[in-house]
Amino acid sequence: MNARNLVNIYGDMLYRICLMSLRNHADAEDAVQEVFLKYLTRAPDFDTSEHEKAWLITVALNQCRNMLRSQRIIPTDPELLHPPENPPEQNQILDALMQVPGKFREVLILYYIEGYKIKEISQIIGKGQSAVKMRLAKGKKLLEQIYRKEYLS
Amino acid sequence: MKEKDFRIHAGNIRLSAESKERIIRNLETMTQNLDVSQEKEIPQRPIVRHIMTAVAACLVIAVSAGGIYHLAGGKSRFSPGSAVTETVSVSMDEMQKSAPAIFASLAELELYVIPPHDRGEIGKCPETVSYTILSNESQQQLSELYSTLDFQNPVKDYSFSSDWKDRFLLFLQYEGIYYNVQTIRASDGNTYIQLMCVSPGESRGYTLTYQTELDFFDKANALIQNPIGGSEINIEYDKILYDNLDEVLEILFGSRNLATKFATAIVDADTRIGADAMNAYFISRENQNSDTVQYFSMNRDNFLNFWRILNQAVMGRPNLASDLKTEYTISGDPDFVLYLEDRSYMQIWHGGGQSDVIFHNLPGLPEELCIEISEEDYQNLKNALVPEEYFNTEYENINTVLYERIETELMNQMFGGNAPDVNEIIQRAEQTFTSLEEAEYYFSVEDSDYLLENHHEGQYFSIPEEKQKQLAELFRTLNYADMKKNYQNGGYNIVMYLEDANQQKSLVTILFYPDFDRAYLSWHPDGNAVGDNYYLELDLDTLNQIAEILSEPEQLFEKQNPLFNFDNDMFNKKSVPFGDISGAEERLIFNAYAPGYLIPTEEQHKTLTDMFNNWNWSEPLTDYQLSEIQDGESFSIYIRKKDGISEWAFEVRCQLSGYLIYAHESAEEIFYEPELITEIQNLFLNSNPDKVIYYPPENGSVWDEPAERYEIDESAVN
Repeated sequence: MNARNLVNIYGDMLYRICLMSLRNHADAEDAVQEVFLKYLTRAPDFDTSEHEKAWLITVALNQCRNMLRSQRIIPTDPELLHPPENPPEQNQILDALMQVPGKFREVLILYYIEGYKIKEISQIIGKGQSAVKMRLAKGKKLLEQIYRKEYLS
Repeated sequence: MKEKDFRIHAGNIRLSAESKERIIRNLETMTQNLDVSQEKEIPQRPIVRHIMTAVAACLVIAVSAGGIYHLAGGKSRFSPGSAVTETVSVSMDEMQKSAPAIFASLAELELYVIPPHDRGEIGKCPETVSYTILSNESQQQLSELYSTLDFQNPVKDYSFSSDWKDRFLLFLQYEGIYYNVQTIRASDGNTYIQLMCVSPGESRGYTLTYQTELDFFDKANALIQNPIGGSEINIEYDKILYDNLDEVLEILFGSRNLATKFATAIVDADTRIGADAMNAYFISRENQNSDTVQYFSMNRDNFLNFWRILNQAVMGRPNLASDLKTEYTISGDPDFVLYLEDRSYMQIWHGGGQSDVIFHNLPGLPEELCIEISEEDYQNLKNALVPEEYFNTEYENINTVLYERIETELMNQMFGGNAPDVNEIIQRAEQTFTSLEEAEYYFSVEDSDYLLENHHEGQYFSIPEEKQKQLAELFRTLNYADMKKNYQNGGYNIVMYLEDANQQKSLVTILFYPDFDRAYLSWHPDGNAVGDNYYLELDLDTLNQIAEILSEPEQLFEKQNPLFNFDNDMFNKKSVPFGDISGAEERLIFNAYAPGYLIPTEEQHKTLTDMFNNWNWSEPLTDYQLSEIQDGESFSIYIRKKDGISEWAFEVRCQLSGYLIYAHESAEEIFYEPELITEIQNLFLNSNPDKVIYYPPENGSVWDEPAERYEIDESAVN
């Protein structure tokens, strides 16, 4: 697949994941570009498009973790991350989601935004299903706490 | 709201059309020069092998260069990023048609010369051969001279053998194919020109020979003997004789490729600096003393100005390829070292009438690249290094810092999460911790990794004043300058709630990994466990002292915590060595491509325990790209241990590529041990396990946990 097709097919999805992991537009774009570069230079053969998509997400999450580990990421003003089409309450949930610690956030993103099942998330992030379930439960609790504190108190 | 109804609406988050176009453009540029070809087998030519066998090594040069190349046999060894991008082939007819254009283009081509050598010199086998890069003017004159060849009438029956007096070699690249031009003065006095394709591939080695005027050799020789400008690349002589011509071509023609990549890297950095996330720090030698390094941050405008001056100094040079040196000799200390957030850095040297910039770790380039700059450029760069803030870090020896530790420790300190405001935070942390006796102070205890769920619900304890003083005394001994920002973890064992003398509330959390033998103390200055934190690694003695102090609480507030009656078991229990799985409740081998989990036999369990206990777990790799390591086939060993107090699970993931990944809930450590992985693989994959649990297990989890349903609280989002 060439660069244009890649970006057109997977660009938005990966950008969404990277943006919510990194909370910074420019870094998210860098991360997406890096993921595609890895795809173009090192991707294995894929049996299915789902396999390909999962590989891209795995690499994207690793890329974000590496960037968070090695760089100082300065979060963009949350309001600038809001999609203008979203109703305010949805943006509030997004804001709260971005405050959830990374390892819980990525599971929430994959489950609630990208629509992956627990088993699939387990394969993507390389953790057991019980760990995914635990992170999901924990992540939702944290999301609730943050949401309550920020918007309901 | 039911679980299935709960969705987070983020579908509107999209890349803008401009961003997409920019990424596509960048990707196309970046992949243009990358080697994406696979290694190709190069067919052997028995006749040449025969010659090789027959002729003594030093005389191999007597075989044509094409022949020499084939002697290499085996595989093409062009590395990724090589100037050679794919296997190419050219037929004899194509070569004949291309010959006039090739010679007519000599002025524009990248051209390398092995100067004349006679047979006597060859017999002496010199240690190195100089490949001279000719000036444009020399190449123009060579082009005019070689264009006089009679291309319509190549010599058909010329046999190049030992019948030559002297010769010189040109290496060039034309339309992606490498050629060697030999200009030979034969023993009969005639001059022959041989054009040979030496590109890697299956159809190479064709040779075209032209006979020309007697004085042609002298005319051409005069041009290459007196190059106008240019420089030299020294290559070991053996490399062109035996099996390294690929490498030679890579070295020669990679240099221009290097210039392109260098330019791209600089431009790429330039683009990144446009982003707000870019940070830069620099060290000035003028301000150093023997035990302190001062480093400075730059603001974005000053940095952009510096980068503009740097661009002017190094880019757009007519001979950038030859100006960039991978080998250089500079002694002393750099005057300035500038660090960028992508972990690349550059040293700026000045003195002895020369100024140089040495680039380190530019992405996709050799580790070090040196380029000389003018005195004026040096002064401009120096003046552009305008400090914004300065920071100190102490080291015993400045030279050690600069040459051995700066790239890791100091850069980690700069970029590894330590924000510029960390000094203030550290100061505040120190004040807070060391004045605990004056603080309001409570703590709570949890035994699991999931404390955050409950910490605000009110399981608070206070401790007696005397104990509070002891704790303050203990905290005085910690080195807060080592604090790093934002430890990523999932929970804590102990949470302390502080309100200092200035009524500032903050949170301290302590996390103990018994299987790592590690403990961390994190400070959350805003009192929010989800917000930023600053952490220190605690040694286990300190951890035990803290535990002992906290083991005698004064008062329990609100409800009783059933876990509070701990008698130090949590901290005093013998910590489990990293690889010790003896006593593990279950040992599960999961083959990623098989349908089941294998439960090993007792004997396998024992063998695996021995393997892990004998393995040195204390030296994980420190520099790795997890996404790269995790490519390819793997299998995992899942281990869960219980010791009566708590339980923890970890995974040892074995990549067949040789990487072993120890994955805990909160961390991953990487080792490289292909032999151990092979041993483990052999132990399990070729044996009869006790039983196989087919995936997915009936109860929804390999640990036989009941399937859990997690209903989100409606009130959370309503």
